[in-house]
Amino acid sequence: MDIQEQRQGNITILKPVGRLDSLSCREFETRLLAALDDNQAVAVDCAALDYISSAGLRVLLVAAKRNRAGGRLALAELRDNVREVFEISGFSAIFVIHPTVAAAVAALG
Amino acid sequence: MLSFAEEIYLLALDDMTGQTVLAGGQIALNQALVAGVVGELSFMRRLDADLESLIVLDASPTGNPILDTVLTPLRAAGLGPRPLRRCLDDLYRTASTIETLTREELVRKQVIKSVAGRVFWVIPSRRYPVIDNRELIDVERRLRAIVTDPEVIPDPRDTVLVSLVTACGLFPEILSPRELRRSQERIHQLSRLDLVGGSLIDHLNGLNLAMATASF
Repeated sequence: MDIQEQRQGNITILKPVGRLDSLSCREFETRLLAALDDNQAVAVDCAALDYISSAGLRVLLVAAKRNRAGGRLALAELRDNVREVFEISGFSAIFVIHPTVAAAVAALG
Repeated sequence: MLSFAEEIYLLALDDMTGQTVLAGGQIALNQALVAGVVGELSFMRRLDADLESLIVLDASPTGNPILDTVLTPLRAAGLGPRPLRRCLDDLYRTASTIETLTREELVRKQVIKSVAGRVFWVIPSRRYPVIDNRELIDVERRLRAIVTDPEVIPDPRDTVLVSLVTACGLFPEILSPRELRRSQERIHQLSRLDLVGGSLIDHLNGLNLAMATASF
């Protein structure tokens, strides 16, 4: 999995490309938690995320827990198959999910 | 730290009688013990799951007899994805071994003790009262904090445990009726966060519905 990263002011935009599963989630977890620990707000652009497994969901849950105070983590542009996983598993109730990255950045800013 | 299987077994144990009592019955406990071991293996990155599949990543022996009870049949079938529901059904036959080994491990850790007795003064029996209930209190406290406070985001291990406890119908043993009433919706939501646990709950609900329908 490739992870693209860019900054917009105090906001880090992480874009995982491909599959977020047990084999690929460690690097994503490291980057995501490092940004949150560095007090940055993080928008995860899921437009190129093809697949998410249980292991990938756990990474997001750990990040949500790390972001306990709230307001520094947002997801955007979930594909239909990934959105379905979020809805069935109840993850959509834990995260703020935006239709576009621009909306996520605006909400975080 | 106790494993999922140890925690669920301990929660299912009546600390007065030393025997398992479950609203969900022995089938639910067996399914939860299997799902607990699957959960343990997924945290070790030996397995992964999605809504439909269990993905075997590494089925080589761990040296832990409980984990290897589940890994052995998975190894025989090879690496890669397979249907989650069918896989859990196939692994169901390992449940009684998992239960026996889990109980032995709890005895070895001196959390419970083995007491010999007789039913009707004739038939030999064995029960397993809790010796040290600190572990039990700790698990119950953790679960109560997670399900009664809507602000708490559970950690991934706790999502697995909430699913297993829900599958076994054990929350009425842990929460007061008032807490249970107020937390029903949140318990339902949290119990879906673990994909294997969510599949297990759906399966058990299906079985219960089938049995209820058949009884009419």
